[in-house]
Amino acid sequence: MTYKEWESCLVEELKGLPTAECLKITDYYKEMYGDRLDAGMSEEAILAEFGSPKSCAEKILAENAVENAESKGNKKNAPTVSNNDNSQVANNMRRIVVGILFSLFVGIPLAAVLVSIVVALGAVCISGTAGIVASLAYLFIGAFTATGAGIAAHIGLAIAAMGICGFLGLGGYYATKYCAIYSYKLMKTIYKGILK
Amino acid sequence: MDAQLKKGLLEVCVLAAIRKEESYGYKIISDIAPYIEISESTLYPILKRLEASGAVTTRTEAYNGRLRKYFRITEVGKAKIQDFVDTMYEFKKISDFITQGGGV
Repeated sequence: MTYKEWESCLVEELKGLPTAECLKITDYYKEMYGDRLDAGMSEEAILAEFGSPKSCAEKILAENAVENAESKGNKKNAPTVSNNDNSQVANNMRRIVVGILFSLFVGIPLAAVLVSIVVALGAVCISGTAGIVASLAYLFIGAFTATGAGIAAHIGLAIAAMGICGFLGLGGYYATKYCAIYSYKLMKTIYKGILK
Repeated sequence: MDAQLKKGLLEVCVLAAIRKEESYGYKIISDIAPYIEISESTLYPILKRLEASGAVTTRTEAYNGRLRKYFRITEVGKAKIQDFVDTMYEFKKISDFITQGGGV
């Protein structure tokens, strides 16, 4: 078994825990594994010392159950792994209900507003790009059809229009890009906080 | 050894291991292992508990292209060690009383 396989099995065994806690545990073992490798131990020896993923998970889950029981002041009932499972199920149910209610009244409307802003900025970018093409067309038509000072006036107008459209196109592109990125981050942070 | 007693002892051992300077998981285990049995899966909940109770603070630093979490003792942690030392002093008196046959 490689360390990666061991870690996958551990994650599987810790399925009942919140993702953030599971990540902390895998980070912890990753660090321990790296330090033991640096100390000259082989992968096989390290994994033998860690023990099976199942036994590691059982110890962590049992400890978690004790902490849950202690934090609830429920010292009379002996804490067991199944108590932990029950509290995890209740916790997951709470998250689902909170997630649905939050999505209905806040999440979806907020996402709709953010998507509208991104689409509007995208439209600015597209219209700016289309404006550059139109200005170019105007430049050529003006240059070939006008006479005398009119040529210079057409070229000047076309260049000015291209500048404005270029600004709109490029500005629209970056505004769309960053608005989309930060909208995604905002929604992710909100949901992370709500579903913690 | 009683499981609860061992749990308490391990907590104080971890605090003692970082009393002089901050340390990291593997070093803490290496420092404690000669005195009391400890494994990775035992240490993790202890560190988590100590952090939650404010006995230690943590910081993460890049080391050899990976991350390493360092633990530093706080005043709360130092007070826990002192509490343990005081309790052991009381135990010593009781132990002496017991071994000497219950006084005379």
